[in-house]
Amino acid sequence: MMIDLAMRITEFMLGLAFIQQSIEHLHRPRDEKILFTCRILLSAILMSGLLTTLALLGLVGLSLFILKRFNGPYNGGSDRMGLLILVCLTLAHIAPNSFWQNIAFGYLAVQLILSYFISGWVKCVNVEWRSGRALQDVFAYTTYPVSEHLRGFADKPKLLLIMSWCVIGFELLFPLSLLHIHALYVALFIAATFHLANAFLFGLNRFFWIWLCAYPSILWFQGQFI
Amino acid sequence: MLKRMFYNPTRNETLFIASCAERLIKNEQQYGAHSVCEIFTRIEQDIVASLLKQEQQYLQFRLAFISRQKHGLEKHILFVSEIKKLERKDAAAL
Repeated sequence: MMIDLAMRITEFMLGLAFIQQSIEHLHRPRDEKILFTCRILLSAILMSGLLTTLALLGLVGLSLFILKRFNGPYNGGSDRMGLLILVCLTLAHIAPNSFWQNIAFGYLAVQLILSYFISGWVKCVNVEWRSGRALQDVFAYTTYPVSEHLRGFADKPKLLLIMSWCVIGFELLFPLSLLHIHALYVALFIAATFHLANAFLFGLNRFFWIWLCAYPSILWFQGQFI
Repeated sequence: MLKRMFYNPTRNETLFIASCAERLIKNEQQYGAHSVCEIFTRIEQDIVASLLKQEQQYLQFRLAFISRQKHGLEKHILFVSEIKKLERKDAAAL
């Protein structure tokens, strides 16, 4: 995949993801409504492919106001990933030459790889995760499960132990998928399914959409550097 | 479930309130005022109508954190807010 195409797909997907997030704020008080209406407009411009650099710079500036409004990210990791993609795209657009453009967009791909690998490593060195207890606790008493009905999973320790090791194993092995494009497609499909499951079980819908936005960068990265 | 993939404001708001609670406990000086304000605002908007029916005029919240200890799950109240008088005029407009 050529970098121009990968960046264009990322811009379009990021615009859609930002619009999806922003619509969720439109029922909120006036200050939020104004911020997120502006975000929808800028995202639409970004998706159109016209005035792309201006739209990206506008979205970066607006993100600072949104961060200030919520005293940090509104939706934790998904907002951080959204910002990372936005900043990398912006830097790739304003880069003085193709070398720096590759560095900026490649940085996004590297961060995507690390987002899986480091998560796997942190879980692997944690005895609670290795024993399946962490996942049991997630279902038992955290705020994450979307319904009380799902808390019943906490009583299935064997299933959760298997699930824990599947997640740890996949995340740790994810970087190896870069060795072959077909392996990468399979890995991204599994990763997307993982995010989809998190959306269904824990209501983390924003994570699913925003992580997908970073996938074109890794597909381009694999073709360039591996 | 499919709809929630595209539009899930209540759930994401719940997660934001949980973040506010965690920030508040982690660093009350830095995040305290903002987090308390956000939590109050969102509780008020959710329950103020039913409170008004009961003619209650004050609101207070507490933050309970559950953690696993040696002997099982333990619940600790780590923060109790001040008592806030409900603004009936604003509430009626909701």
